[in-house]
Parts: sequence; C-alpha cells; structure tokens
Amino acid sequence: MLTEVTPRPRAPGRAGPLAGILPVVLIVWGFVGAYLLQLSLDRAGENRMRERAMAEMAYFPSGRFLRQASIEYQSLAADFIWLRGIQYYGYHLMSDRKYEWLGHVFDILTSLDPGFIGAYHFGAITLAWDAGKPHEAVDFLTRGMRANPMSWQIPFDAGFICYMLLRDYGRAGTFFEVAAKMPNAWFVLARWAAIAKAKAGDFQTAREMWLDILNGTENRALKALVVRQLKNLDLSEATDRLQKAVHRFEQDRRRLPADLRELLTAGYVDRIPAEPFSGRFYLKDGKVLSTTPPNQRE
Amino acid sequence: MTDRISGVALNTFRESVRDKVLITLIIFAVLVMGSARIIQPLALGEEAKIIKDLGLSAITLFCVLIAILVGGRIVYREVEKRTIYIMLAKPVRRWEFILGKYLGLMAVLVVSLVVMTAAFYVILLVLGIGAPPYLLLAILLTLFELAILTAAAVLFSTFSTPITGAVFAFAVYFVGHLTRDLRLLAAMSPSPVVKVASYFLYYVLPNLSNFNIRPEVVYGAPLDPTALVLSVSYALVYSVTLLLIAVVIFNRKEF
Amino acid sequence: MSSYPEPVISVTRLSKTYRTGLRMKRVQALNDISLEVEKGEIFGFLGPNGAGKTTLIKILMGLTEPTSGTALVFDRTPRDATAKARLGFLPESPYFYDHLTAREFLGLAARLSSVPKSEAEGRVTGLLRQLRMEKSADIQMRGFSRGMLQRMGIAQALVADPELVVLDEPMGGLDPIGRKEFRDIIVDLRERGKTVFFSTHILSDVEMICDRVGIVIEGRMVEVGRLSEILTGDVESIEVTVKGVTGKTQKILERVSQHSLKSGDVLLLTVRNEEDVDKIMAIGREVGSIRVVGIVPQRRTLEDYFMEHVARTGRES
Repeated sequence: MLTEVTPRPRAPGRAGPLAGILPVVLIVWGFVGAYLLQLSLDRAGENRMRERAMAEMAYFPSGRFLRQASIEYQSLAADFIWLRGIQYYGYHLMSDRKYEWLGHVFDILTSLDPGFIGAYHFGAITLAWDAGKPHEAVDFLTRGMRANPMSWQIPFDAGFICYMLLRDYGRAGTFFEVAAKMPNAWFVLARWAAIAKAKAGDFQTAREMWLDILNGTENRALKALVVRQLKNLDLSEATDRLQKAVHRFEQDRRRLPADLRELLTAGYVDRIPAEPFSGRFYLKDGKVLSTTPPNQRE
Repeated sequence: MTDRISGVALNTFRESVRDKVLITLIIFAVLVMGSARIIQPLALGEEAKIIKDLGLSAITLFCVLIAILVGGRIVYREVEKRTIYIMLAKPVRRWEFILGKYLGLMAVLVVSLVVMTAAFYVILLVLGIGAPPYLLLAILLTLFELAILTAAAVLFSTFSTPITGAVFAFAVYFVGHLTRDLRLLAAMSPSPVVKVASYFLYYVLPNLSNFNIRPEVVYGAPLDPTALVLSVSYALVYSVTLLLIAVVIFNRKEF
Repeated sequence: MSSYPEPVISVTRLSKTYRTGLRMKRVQALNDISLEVEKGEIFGFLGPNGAGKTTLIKILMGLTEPTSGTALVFDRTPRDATAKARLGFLPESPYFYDHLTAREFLGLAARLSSVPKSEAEGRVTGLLRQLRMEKSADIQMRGFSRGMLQRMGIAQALVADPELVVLDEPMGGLDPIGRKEFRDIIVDLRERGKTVFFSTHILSDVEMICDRVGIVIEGRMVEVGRLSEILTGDVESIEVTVKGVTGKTQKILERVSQHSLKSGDVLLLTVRNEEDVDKIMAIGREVGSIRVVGIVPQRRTLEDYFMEHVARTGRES
C-alpha cells in the first residue's frame, strides 16, 4: 500500500551566489588582475634585477668550493649555473651590454663540469665578442683544451678568435692545426689552418698543408681550389720577398726604387718571379702589387 | 558567518599544530640554521652574508615544505576520515569551509615562521653577526609567497590524494621560480609561436621570484617600495583566484 | 495523503545512478523513490545492506546530488543553509576529530551550527550530562569506545536543538543496552515534538519505535506506510508444542501439521489454524501418553513481510 504523494509547490532553494557563472568570471578577472600586476612589477623591477644579478654573480664563491659542495650534483649544478649564466647574458644583452661577471660564471661552470663543451663555446664567443675580452677568452679555451684533449671545437674556437679578433694568424693557424687532427673534426679545418699560416707569413707550413689536402682528396673541385690557393700562396710569398727587398733598398739608399727592374739591377733580388696568375708585379708608392685583381685570385 | 569560518580555521589550526610533521620540520629548520657555523672554513671570509642567506633560505624552504605537506592533505584528510560528513551537514557553506581551512593553515605558517625567525635571530646574535630588522622584510615577503603556495595546496587538496597533491604543489613552487627563464625565453626566441606560448605561461603561472628579496636584503641593496606593494597585491589577487577555483571544485564535489 | 502541515522531508521520484570502475559501469543506487515524513513522527527507513538507504540520506544532507527527481527538507533544497540549520545528522560509523576532547568537539559543533555563544556552553554541558559523558568530557576522543563515540554522535546532532534528526544506522555495533538507550533517546525526541528519520536494517528496532516505515530493496521503494497498516495482525499459523511423542503418534501428528521439529520426546508442530489445533487436542485425548504443553499463535511479523518482499524482488529481477 503506497502512500499517495501529492506534488506540492516548492519554495525556491537558494543556490547561493557561488553556483553558476559568477565564480568563473571572477576567476578570469583574477588572472587578468595578476597579469596586470605582474606587468607593472616587471617594469618597476628592472633596476632591481640589475642589482640582483650583480649580487648573485658576485656571491658565487670559487668554482672549487662549489665543486666540493655539490659533489653528487656537479652536472646538475653546472646546468643550473648555465641557465643563470644565459639569463645574465640575455639580460645584459638586452640592456647595457656590460658583462662584468661573464668570465667568472663560465669559469665556475667549467670547473664544475669540465666536459661541458657547449659552455666553453658559448662562454668564449660571448667573452670575446660581447664582453670584448678576447685574450681572456683564449685563455679560457686553452684550459678547456687541457680538460678535453679530444675535442676539436675548443681549439677551433680559439683559433677563430685569434684569427678574427686578435689577428694573431700564426697562433690561429696552430690552433686550427691542432683541431684538424682531432677525431670528427671539420674537414675544412686543415684548410683554415693553411690559410691562417699563410697569412702569418709561414709559407712553408702553409704550402705543406695545402699539398696534404691536395693529395688527400679525389674531389676535382677541391683539387682545383687547392691549386688556386697554392698559387695565392706563391703570390703572397713572392710579394712578401719583393716587399722585403724594397724595404732593404730603401734602408740602404734612402729612397724607393723607381721600379722593380731597379731592384734586379741593384742586386737586391736575383730575379723577378713570375706572377702565378699570369699577371705582372709592379711597384706603386713603395708597395709591391699585382696586376691580377683580388677577385680573380680565389 | 565569521563564527563558522573561524570555527573551521581554529579547528584546522589546532589539528595541524598537534601534527608531528609540523614539529619535526620546525626542529629541522632550527638545526639547519644552527649548523651554519660549520661552513666557516669554506666561506672564504663571507660568513656573515652566507649565514644570513642560509638562515633566510632555510626558513623559506621549511615553510614551503609545511605548506605543501600539511596543506596538501588538508581537505583530503577530512574526506578520507569522513569527518566531513558531519561538517557539511551543518549549516556551514562550502566556501566557508574552504576559506576556514586556508586561514587555519596560514595561521600555522605564521606561527612556524615566527618560531623559526626567533630562533634565527637568536643564532645570529649568538654568532655575533648583526641581526638588523630589515631581514624581517624578506621573511615577511616570503609569507606572501606562502599565501599563494598554500592556496595552491588547498586547491589540489580538493581533488587529489595527499601524495599527488603534494607533488603538484611542489611543482608549482618549482615552476614558480623558473618563470624568469620563461620570460627570457620569450624575449630571445625568434619563433612567434614559442614567444606567445612562453609569454602566456609566464603571466598565467605564479611568479614566485617576485617575493625573493633575499639578495637585496643580505647585501643591503635599496628596496623599491612600489615593487613591494605590487608584489603583495599580486599575492592577494592570485591567492584569491586560486581559492575561488578551489571553491568551485569543492562546490561540485559529491561524497 | 495529508497535506497539512507541510512535510518535513519530501522525496519525489528520486533516482541516483553511479558510474564506477574503469569501465564506468552504471550502478542504480536509487530508483524512483518517493516518500514523505510528517512533523513529529518517527520514520524508519528499512532495507537490507546495499539497498540505497545511505545514498538517500546523503542526498537529503546535500552531500550528493540526485540524478533525477527531487528531495526537499523543510521545503528547501538540501544544500540550503536554512534547512541545515534546523536539522541534526548522525552518519553511519561516524568519525570525529581525534585530537579534540568531547567538550571541545561539541563546542565546535555548536559554533558551526550558529548556536549563540551565550547558550552554547549550557547546551554542551546539558548534552554531556544527558548522555552520561560528563566523566569523559575533557579526554581526547581518540580513546573513546564505540558506544561513547555513538553518544557523541547523537550529541553533536542535537547541539543546535534541531526540529529534525536524521540518523544513518544509529544502532550499528551497539550492545543491547546501548540499543535500548538509543531507542529511548529517539522516543524522547518525539515526545519533545521533534521528527526523527533513521535508517536501519534491524527489524526489531523499527517494530518497537517507528510510527511509519519505508521499505527499500535494491534501490526501489516497495512499501511506505503505518506499521499497523502493513502488518494486519492476522494469525498466520499456530505453533503447538507436544510432549511424550513416540514414533507412531509422531506420524499421526505430522499429518495434521505443516511443519514439525523433534527434540527428544518433544515435538514442535506448526499448524494452519485453530481447527487443526483441535484435531491435535483430540489426538492427544485419544493417545493418553502425549500432552499438549504449548499453543502460540504466530502473527505476521515484519520479518515475514520483509523476507516475502526480498524473495519477490529476487524473482522479479
């Protein structure tokens, strides 16, 4: 026997203000508010960040201490420092371009994790170009070479900096030479070494390196390139010899020779060498030049 | 209304204070601070700064742990133990319940903070290092960071188990401190997709590094009052938003 | 049936479906339940374990939402705070905050129920006395026995002096003394003009104190109404106890009866009606050695009724 249930009019239940769409709207507004505040904060905080970055960098004790303190997590610590270092670099790149502590940071990084080749690369390049400290960069890389004797990248970077910034072509060539011998080295490194050496005036080594390349390849295009480079080498060597002769002439006779023939007749050179590109050497304003324009020599 | 909220808050406070986890963490924090002495030989003459920084960091870290470990369980424990049936059958509104839990937990954190700070100052005085009052500013700002973190912990507690909730809360802490890198990524990335995504994440995720004024304080660098006010406002807005989300979830929850 | 005054609890065609497990299997906890609870009555909600009693109560308390149908408490939705302010709830196997003392816990309950501060202390003390918990008032509830916890449960339900008291399996795990105490409390509540709604699977509790009963089996409401109307009081059968029975007489007697149970020389027979009793008496007079020592009419009990419905539902499903 079921009781009859008569439906009766209901008093509306209060669902409360927190049902429905209102809270969602509030939440969205909350995030918008947070966004706006953060924006203002960022603007107000730029000065703060600079000081903080300085404080943080200076606070880093020597790499040796950190190494002992973070024995198990050296790699991790290095990664962490790498992130901070990048941030430091990035921040200053966008602002004042002053990188006082960059060397310090990368020094620590590489003390912690000497195998972190990327750090050497980035650190050296930025030190050399952005921070304007190429010598420091090369020293840094030299330490890296000691820790990573099989790496070709580190000596390559060193050579690169020597060549481009320090214009120390001899040293650059030596670095490239070292790099070229490493496993997996870029095959062009040998070439670069040769070019650098030539520029440094070490024609003999350069010629030998080019010949090595010539003999080491079946590639006809490459062979042609090497032949051109050898000719260039000859040109540079000849120019150099002639120039030295002009210099001796000037020192002895207190005047420049009228032309190259005079060098020959005066006995400062025993012959005028043939110009490798079928041009001619001539003298202008005390400088030995070639009639072959530079773009036809490559 | 306030009676009910304070009832829940007080009960939460009492329950957490009698929790062994809390006592253990506080003792550990004090121990860590006390052991600052032994780093002397390694400090290369920078002890004072290191000890101050260590102390401040320890306080922050342990309070974060408290917020995560205690907060992560706070709603779940009620549901698990079914004490919540009695509570929700009373005329307590669901949002009052959440707010009460949050306030109770914040009260626990404030007390822990005070205890640890007192211990810290004692240690500093004993070691003969100056204990200037502006260190308190750094701790105060940490409190606001904790406000956000606690709100996150309560939020996770409404729908996950204690362990998962703690993991999420810890993730928020971790990510919250890496947001600066996100911003850097956004600024330096050439890809517009990465840029937009990174900026979006940067603004949505809580930027907890706003509250770290420890380096300035330790080095005596000048503080920007505008930035402080903005940071505090940020904490309030963000915490309230998180709690709102928690209330929405808790409102829909069935037992 | 009666429309005035409005019912305290009103449930109309309520259904609740759960999805459980990885495969989201559908479980129908409540199926089209309707009932009303009038002011001032004790309503027993009866059903075997798993019938859906707790689910209905959770819906009435606003802990769960129904899938369809409506549930109203004091003519309002269960989540409404004004409705909750007028009721007290004791869940099944309740848990409390271990770290609180009895007094602290009741104080919290009072506070959450918006009991005015001036009255709260008095009520707490009064309840502690009424439930004989004075001696344990300031001990942490961690160490309380089952009976003490149950008493604390009813105390927190009563602290706001509610008009409606809802109890889910309140007698579970109590010894007979505890159960009697609880029955007395419930009856006393009715004397004071309160309405009581409780769920149970124990029939005798219902028989002893309920005004009206709702029987639910496997989520369906099979019967709602006054106990006196459900159990008509007809004599179903008569139990006759006969002593001094031997093998031969036993067979004669058994022919007259529906069932028989033998123990030594005593035979317990179940017969349909008084005529059969007369037949047995006649046999007894003939065979001088046997004596009828007991005649007990068996009225239809709630248990019979209940088992009948369970069997019927089993056949239907």
